[in-house]
Amino acid sequence: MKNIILKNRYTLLVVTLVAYIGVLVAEGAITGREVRVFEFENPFFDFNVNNFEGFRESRDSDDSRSDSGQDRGENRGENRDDSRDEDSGDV
Amino acid sequence: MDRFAIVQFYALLRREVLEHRNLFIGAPAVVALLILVATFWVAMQIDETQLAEGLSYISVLFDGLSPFDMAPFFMLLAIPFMLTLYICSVIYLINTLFQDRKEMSILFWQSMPVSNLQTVLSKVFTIVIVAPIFYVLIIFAMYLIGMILLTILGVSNDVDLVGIGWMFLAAIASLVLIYFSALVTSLWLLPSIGWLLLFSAFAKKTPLLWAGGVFILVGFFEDFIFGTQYLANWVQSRAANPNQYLIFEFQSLVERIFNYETLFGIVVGSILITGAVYMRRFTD
Repeated sequence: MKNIILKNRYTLLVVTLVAYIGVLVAEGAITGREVRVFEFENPFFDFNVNNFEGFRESRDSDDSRSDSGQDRGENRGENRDDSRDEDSGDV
Repeated sequence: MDRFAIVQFYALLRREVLEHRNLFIGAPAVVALLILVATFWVAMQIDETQLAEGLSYISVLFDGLSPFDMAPFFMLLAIPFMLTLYICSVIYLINTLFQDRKEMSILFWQSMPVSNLQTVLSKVFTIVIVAPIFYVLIIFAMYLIGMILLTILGVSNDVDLVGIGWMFLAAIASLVLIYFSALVTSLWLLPSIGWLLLFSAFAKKTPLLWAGGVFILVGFFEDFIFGTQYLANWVQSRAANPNQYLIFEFQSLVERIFNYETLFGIVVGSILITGAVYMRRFTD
């Protein structure tokens, strides 16, 4: 066993890293170390990677609430594009 | 431990300090010099009456107060030194075993009556125990020069200097906090020390790239094989908040040194340091 571990520098590195990760994972599992969570605290929205679905749903509901206002803007944009097309057609 | 082993270890420590004087003595001395020059320059810019008022204010502020209570004020001055110590430690750790192989001086040291374990432990001991001593001594010298300057300024401006004496005592007390902060930081970050030493002993070229690259790869593998992110969590929990290892009050000294996180850091660091010890046998 010792001969295999100390065969060359790469086997030794792999064994050391496996022991390192093994201890970390075991300790993490025993103590219940929390999974990394990205939480952005800001006044505009709540974002949590663990609850990504919830974030998407809340964003969709926000979008539908502001749909009417956006439509008006889009229509204005479309009209402007149309008029630009007409202008370019004339030229 | 017999006397010969102690002498051997002392010789190894002395070798480390002599070979890396720039990192352990030169770098903090330059920082101290810069702070002194900057302070002196600012003092020269201020009007004499304002300077006298400032001095008397400082004197009143510290007069009669316990130096141990006022010591944390001086931790602010130590921040540039702590940052310098961290940067110099990374440079030292990533190069020390790599340089030995590059220069082939490893062959000389392996022919001496010292084991790989003693050599690697001397490097860890240098960073954890010895380097902070030099930093604290240089900070002490800086405080001493600063106090002499303040005293001269105070005498020339007819300011009552009793409070300056109290301030000096608080500054001295802060040196203990600075030393133990550096010590606890080293123990807390012992896995990082072990990691850098392992790759310093392993890499044939560019050890820093190896250390950084493998760290990222290991994180990916952990996520891929176990489906967990304990490594990333653990690193994040260690590195994210310096308040965990900086000591600002004497009451929390023992608690900061002997707690689960520090002791677990020592255990994990020991695995990597053991790897570095065995890795040192590959001299090519």
